[in-house]
Amino acid sequence: MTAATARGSRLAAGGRGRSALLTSLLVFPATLWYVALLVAPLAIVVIFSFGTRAKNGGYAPALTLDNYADLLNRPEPFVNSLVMATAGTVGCLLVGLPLAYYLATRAGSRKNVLLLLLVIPFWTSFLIRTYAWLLIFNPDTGIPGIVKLLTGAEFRVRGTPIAVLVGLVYGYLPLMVFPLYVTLERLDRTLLEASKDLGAGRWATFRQITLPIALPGLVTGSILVFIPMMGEYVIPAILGYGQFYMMGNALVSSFLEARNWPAGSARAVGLIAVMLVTVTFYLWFVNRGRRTRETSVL
Amino acid sequence: MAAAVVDESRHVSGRARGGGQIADVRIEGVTKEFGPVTAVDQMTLEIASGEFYSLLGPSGCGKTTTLRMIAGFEQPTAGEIFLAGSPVAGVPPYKRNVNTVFQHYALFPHMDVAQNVGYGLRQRGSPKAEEARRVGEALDLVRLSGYGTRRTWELSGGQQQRVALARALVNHPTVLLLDEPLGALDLKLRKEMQLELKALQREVGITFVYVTHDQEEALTMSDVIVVMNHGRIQQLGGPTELYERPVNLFVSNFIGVSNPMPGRVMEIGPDHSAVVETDRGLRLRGTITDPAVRPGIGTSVTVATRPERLTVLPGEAREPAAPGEVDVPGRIHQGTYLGDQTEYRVTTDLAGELIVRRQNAAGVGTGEGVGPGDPVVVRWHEEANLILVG
Amino acid sequence: MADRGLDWYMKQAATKPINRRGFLTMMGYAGGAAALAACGGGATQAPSATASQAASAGPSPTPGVDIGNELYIYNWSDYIADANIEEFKRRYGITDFVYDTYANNEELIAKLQGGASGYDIAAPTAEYVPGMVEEGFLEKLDLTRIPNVQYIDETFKNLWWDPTNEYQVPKDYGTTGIMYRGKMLASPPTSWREFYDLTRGSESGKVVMVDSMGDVFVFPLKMLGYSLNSLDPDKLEEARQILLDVAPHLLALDSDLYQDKLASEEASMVLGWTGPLLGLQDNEDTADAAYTVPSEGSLFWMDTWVMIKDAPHKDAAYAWLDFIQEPAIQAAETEFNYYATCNSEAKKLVPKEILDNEAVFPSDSAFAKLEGAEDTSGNNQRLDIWEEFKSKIGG
Repeated sequence: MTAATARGSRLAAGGRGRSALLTSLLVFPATLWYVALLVAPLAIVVIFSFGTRAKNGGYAPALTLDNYADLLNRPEPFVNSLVMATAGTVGCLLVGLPLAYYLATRAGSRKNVLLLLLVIPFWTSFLIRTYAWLLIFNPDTGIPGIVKLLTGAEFRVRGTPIAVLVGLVYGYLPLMVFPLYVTLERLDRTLLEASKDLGAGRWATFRQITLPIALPGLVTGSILVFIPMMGEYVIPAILGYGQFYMMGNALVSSFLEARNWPAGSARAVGLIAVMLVTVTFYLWFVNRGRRTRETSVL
Repeated sequence: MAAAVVDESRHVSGRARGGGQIADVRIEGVTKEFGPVTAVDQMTLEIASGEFYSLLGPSGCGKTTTLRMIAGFEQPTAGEIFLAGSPVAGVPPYKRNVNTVFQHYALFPHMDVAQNVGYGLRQRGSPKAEEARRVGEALDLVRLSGYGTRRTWELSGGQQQRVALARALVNHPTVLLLDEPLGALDLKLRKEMQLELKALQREVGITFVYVTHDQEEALTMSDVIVVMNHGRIQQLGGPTELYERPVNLFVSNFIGVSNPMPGRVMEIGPDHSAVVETDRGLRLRGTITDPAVRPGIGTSVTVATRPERLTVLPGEAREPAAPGEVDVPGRIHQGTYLGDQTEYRVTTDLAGELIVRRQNAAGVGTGEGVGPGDPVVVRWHEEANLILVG
Repeated sequence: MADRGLDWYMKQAATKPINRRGFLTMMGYAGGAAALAACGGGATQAPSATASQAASAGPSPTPGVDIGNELYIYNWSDYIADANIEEFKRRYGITDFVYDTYANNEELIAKLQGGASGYDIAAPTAEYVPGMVEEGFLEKLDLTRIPNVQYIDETFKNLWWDPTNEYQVPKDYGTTGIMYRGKMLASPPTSWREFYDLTRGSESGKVVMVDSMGDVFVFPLKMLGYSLNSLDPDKLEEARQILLDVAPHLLALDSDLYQDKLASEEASMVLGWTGPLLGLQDNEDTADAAYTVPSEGSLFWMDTWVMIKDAPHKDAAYAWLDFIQEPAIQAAETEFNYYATCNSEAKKLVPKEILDNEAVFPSDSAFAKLEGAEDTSGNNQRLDIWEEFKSKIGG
């Protein structure tokens, strides 16, 4: 993000007259696109959030904070999403970090194949991949079935937080792995040797060198997975059997069932606010990171 | 392989310095293979305490691999390495009391200068106060006092180099390993740093093992130079010894410039002297440089001379040379003015092309005024003839 | 017993979630290649034997009435018996019978919003009719030209979406009820009360409800003997207690895959729709699947025939509206699509096996207590209860 801005400003600064015109000409379609498809809908959502429900559902203009007050009265879906997204992000970290580390440092010539294997599932529909987990968790023919066959122990996975968590981690893992992989791959291996040379063991080296240097990638990955997880709707519905009432479901309730657009808009704005706080933290972190010459991966 | 073993022991055995005391580093019959490639081949070497050792050789000669085995980043395929008398097979780098200065410094980008330098102390759990004191001392030592809070990338190459040095030295290692640490610096800075490093080494008294492919650098700094090629030690000795008495053609070519003349041994004299007839028919008396070999009559050898031992005399005919002098007539092919000296390339029938170097004194000097095409006589004393076996 | 294979899921994912309209689609899955092939033939395919018999039993064309030779119908896919179309064309000399399809009501409305559509007839779901009237999309009907509306059951007349019965003619209807696996239950539920007891008792953890507020509220309100459209705070509070009572005992809130949970015997009962029933019954392992409309009554949904404003072929459109309500024609419709007819004369002509199938026709007692849904979406108390209920699913 910062890099792009810098490049843009340099272009603008260097190009007095003709090339400045060219720049604005080239930027125009993107700007239009951005305004029409991002800014305008967002503005509409914000405006709606201060309105009231029309008699037959939808939006009627008004200027009220009731929808936001109401938001505070219904914290469950928000809290549920926050807990689930946090757990999912931690899960992605726990799985993604070793995976990215392996890919970046140990995989050698298999690296490209493994990266490809990581991406290939994402050529199919998200829905199908989520459904596939229903089969894997099938109590008779899936993992629980096999465990039951081998040990006699019966347990269920579908409709539990574990299933949702697995689905979330599986669904968003690449978004965590790729930024991490990029930072770890750029990591100068002699820094690790230097650390060991100076008396730090494997873990101490990982903690003091690898982790701090990979931190921008780690933060990028965490934000990339956390934000969509906050709005996740399909995975808790399918794998969680709808037992987890999350923000995504609440938005559907507001818009489609209550047909109360202003209430739904207020919810959406609340969710966006949380994302903004998260991204602000990220930008702050990147700026702080500039002092360590580590650039953002976004 | 069998020949190599003989070769090795011939050059190295009995050469251990430091007498009875335990060597800081002892490498015993170490071989390192990377797949089909043998990087280090049956190497045996003792590195004495407090001296400045250089591992010198072209790229791929095994010098860096040797260094990395001492540091613990690589494990020998065969043989044993001892640090301060103890075998270190399987001992990880962080448990060895050696430190390395890396080629590109490998400074930690997310730490300031003081944090970099104090890193090793922190791993040992030094108290904060002691860490600060020793970091300060180390920075003083490398003349970077007051740079502690600077970011490493704000420093110049030479300063970064010094941080890397301080970071290693602050731990008081038994041996300091330096992997071409000056390679990234420009020539002038490099020369300065060479002298500085040498002075530093004397000051701290720590054994330095310095890897370089730059023979001049090695000659400038080292107490002992270990010349390596194809994973084997070619010769080990002080700078003068290596230059004056290279034991083989590789060493004589790698250290300095020489004029090689292939030939065969005709007579064996006392004190390792011999008479060689070159392939072009020149009969030369000289010294067999390697005391460990005793070539027989007819053995193929090379007679080498250093360019500065040769003189160029203008004109064609000369009075007969004095006893022990060799005269070879030829023509100047090229003369290059190098500032402090002039280099002539002389084409001769008897000795092929000879390189002659002459010190430029103020306004005077033999051979002055000779230019390309001029007939000359190249003269040298037979003391300059080095007979190289192999 | 076993779950369906991945390819089944892929089909599911590729098509829209199962809805009421999914009945025929499910039959297609169940019947395998033959059924698929039959469906693939589309509207021009030869009619089924029973349907054509029924159709030909109808009266002959009315001579002397020229209604043109064109009719443009915009409808859900596979929603008119092919034989009836052929019969209509034959009887009225219609040569240009156009049948275009939409996937949902919103698509239909979007088309009409775009200006003159050229269609004569459409089939929106009843609750969309008032909005379409308000927007001026629909032609007010001259009921004298549709004498066969006399056969429409009173249950489906004078409802909130068309109080004067001037804008639509009921097409067919379906219900919300309880689908269950007979062999998993000692005694299947016949009422909401029994459903409530079973859910909290022996079937705890094996009950699914569709993720649809309007349908779920039917259960507590009807069980208590109230209108399912009730907005009375006290009645809703009673309903809330019942919903919170059962919430911890539910396996899932799921509108899309509940038939799978029944098939794998994870679930024994589902508060849901009839759609997947035949698919389950057609499979040997799950042939014990059944559907009941609880005796306290339930919600029905209804699709309607409407005439589009300024329809280009009004005469043909009236002819169609009347034709399709002829008892024999209407009975053939029911046989074709397995949705209950709103036409009481036609019902008498429907084969007994379909009449007895509660998934198509509710029992008489339940039928007497059927209610159409009103728009209750603006009620905050309902929404509060619904969200509280949702956050308590599974305990």
